[in-house]
Amino acid sequence: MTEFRILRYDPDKDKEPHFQTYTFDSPKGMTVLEGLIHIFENIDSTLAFRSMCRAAVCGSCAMHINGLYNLACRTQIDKLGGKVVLRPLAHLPIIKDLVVDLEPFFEQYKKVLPYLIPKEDPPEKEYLQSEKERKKLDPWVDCILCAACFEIHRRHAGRESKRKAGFCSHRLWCFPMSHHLQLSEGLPQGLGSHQGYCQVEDESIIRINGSPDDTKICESCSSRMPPSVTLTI
Amino acid sequence: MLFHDVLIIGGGLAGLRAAIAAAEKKVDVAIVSKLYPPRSHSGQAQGGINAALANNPKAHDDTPEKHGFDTIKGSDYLADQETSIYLTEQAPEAVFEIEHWGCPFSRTEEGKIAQRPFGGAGYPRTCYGTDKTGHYILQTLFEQTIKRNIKVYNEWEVIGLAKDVNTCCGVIALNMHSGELQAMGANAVVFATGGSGRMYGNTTNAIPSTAFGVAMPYWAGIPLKDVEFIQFHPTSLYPSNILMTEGCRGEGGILVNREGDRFMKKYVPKAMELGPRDIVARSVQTEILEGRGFEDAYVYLDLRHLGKAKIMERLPGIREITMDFNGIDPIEEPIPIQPGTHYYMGGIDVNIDGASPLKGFYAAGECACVSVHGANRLGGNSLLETVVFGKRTGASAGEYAKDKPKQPKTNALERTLKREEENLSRMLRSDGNENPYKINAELRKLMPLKAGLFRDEKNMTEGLAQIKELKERFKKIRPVASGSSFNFDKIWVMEIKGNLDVAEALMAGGLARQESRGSHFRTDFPKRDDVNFLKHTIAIHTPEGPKLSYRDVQITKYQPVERKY
Repeated sequence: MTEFRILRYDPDKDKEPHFQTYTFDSPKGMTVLEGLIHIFENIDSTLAFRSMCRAAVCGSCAMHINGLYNLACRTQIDKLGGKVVLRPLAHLPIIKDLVVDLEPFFEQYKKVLPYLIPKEDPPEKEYLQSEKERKKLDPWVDCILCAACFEIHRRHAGRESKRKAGFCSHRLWCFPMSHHLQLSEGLPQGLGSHQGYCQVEDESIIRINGSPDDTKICESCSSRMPPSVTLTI
Repeated sequence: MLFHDVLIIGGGLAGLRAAIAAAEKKVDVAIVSKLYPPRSHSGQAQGGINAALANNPKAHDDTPEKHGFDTIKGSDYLADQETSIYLTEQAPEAVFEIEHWGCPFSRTEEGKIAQRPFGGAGYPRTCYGTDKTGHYILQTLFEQTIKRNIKVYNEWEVIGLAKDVNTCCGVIALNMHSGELQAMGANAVVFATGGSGRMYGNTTNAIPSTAFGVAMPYWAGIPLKDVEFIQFHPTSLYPSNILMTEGCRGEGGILVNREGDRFMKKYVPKAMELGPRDIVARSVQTEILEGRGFEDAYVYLDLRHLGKAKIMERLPGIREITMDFNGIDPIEEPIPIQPGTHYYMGGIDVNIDGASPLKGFYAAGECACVSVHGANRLGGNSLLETVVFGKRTGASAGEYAKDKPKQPKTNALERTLKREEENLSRMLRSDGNENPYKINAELRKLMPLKAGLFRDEKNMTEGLAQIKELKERFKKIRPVASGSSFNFDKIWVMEIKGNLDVAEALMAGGLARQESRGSHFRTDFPKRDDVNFLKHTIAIHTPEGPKLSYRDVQITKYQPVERKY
């Protein structure tokens, strides 16, 4: 039997969030998301969680799974030893159960002006850019806006701080900056110079896999971007 | 009461592009999405977007005209030809536009947008950004809507249309956060609700991609077109059915059965793995049915010979998925694949401007059938359709709405709101005991069996009867969960009703079409029959079930000939 302990909160009824436990047989290969769907369809249809692509590319089901942030859709139940503990992303207000309010995250996203600001009119056809240059963008453009790192930045700030979204405002690097990009005056320092960083102090919360070639992966990141690209503003 | 000149329902590629185009007409536009737009299923498109840019050295003489011909031939001549040619003529400009907005396409040695071969295409013309093209374009368009300050109602589920006499005057939507049902007035409504693949069990489609978006206009009296045509992608990962892009084969991946045989040589010896999707999918299924698959369920997609460097550079997303979901590294091991339901060619009946027969109601993208894919869509043409027809439809809707009075038709909207509220409260009070999810699961199980890659009269007749039975059982479902905020039960019950009704239309349309064309293959009528069936199926909703009629296909430039690859 598999056990799911889920932090639940119903704004209509509950003063505080509380855990509820569900048990069921999970076939081999079942993911945490499939387990949630099983509960929703067969045991308790009041359970609320977001789900979309079930293929680890949309960011909907980012949550706190047995102590680490991950996407529920790509986490195998087997690997968690049959006991699954789920909480919503912390530091974002809970609306219901595992559904948190993402508005603060997307409001922050808007503030970094996450779009290309061309300096000049575009050419008739495409911009010319070498594959080598474009490849440098790969780690930045893979961000799926899952918001897992957002709260981590706040957590490490330890207070309602000025530190903002940890997502990478990827498009700002799309083309060689000197040619096409005009950083608006209001834009925080550091954005234009790849100098953002992910400050990780508490390794019990976020584990970092070190490797010699600067490809450290911040495990809160569902797109496995190197931590150096996430921003502290 | 909420009011916008134009309401766009859906925040995927077609919806975002439509919103940008409508906003350019200087009207007040809002997007209503049941998700946050960057979560949309468009982001799962992997392989690329077609445009005859002639950037690949092997495609130096490619033209939009040749792209048009490939599209029409690929459609098994069911696509409307003027419309298809418009699509391919607009393609280069559409691709340059998203590139100018910052979409990070992969590059050729000269620094131009890179292009790879795709199935059914005479030239390598599929522009790509590694194997995450949909994700990159989705992010790019989302950013452009932010730049333009376009209002988005995030996580609002539209549940029905509002009509005033013979005009669409808005929608009724559920604010998922508050649980409130609200009327939203508009002079023009554009549906861009995406695919319907979740009518089927073995689908590449995302969880919310049900037929509900197609069902709402169908219930409101708007016809659906070519309902029987749904595409099966040849390569979805076994057993999760997550998409393994056609780009895998475009980059040189091969299909191998249990005997180690590269079986495509038996079916399409010239095009091999890059035959059109309908043919490759049937070939894979034939191998499995005839016992040459593994566990009677899958064959191998082998990428190993491409080598580590190419896989890492061109197919990094595929590698991540196979490692995450199957524990398989495609550099070392072949990937187990089977066909999976992938794309609904049928949909809301609209013309080249995206306009439906109901005034003020438009549709674009996968939920629409403007008819450029006909009986079989070419890979790389769906992303193209979203931007080309998203743009044209948004512009038409904006133009239409521009000079209309800027106020909601309160009476009609309130009347509809009341009706929907009554429907919902009936669902809460139901005295039945059927589990709606069991009904949905049974539907999704029967669809691939009765209306799958190989169809015949017996199976489709049985399938139709089974759907009718499920619809009867659905009338007796247990009460819907109470609770205001994020009541997903309420939402899913409505979505499942949409699945049932559109699946019924699909089955009826398939039963009536006694021929084989594109994705619709009838073992009892294995040949194409242009004399009787070179025509679009039109389905109208009635309480007794779909009423079918037919409409001529627009044939202007290319006379239908047998499709050979």
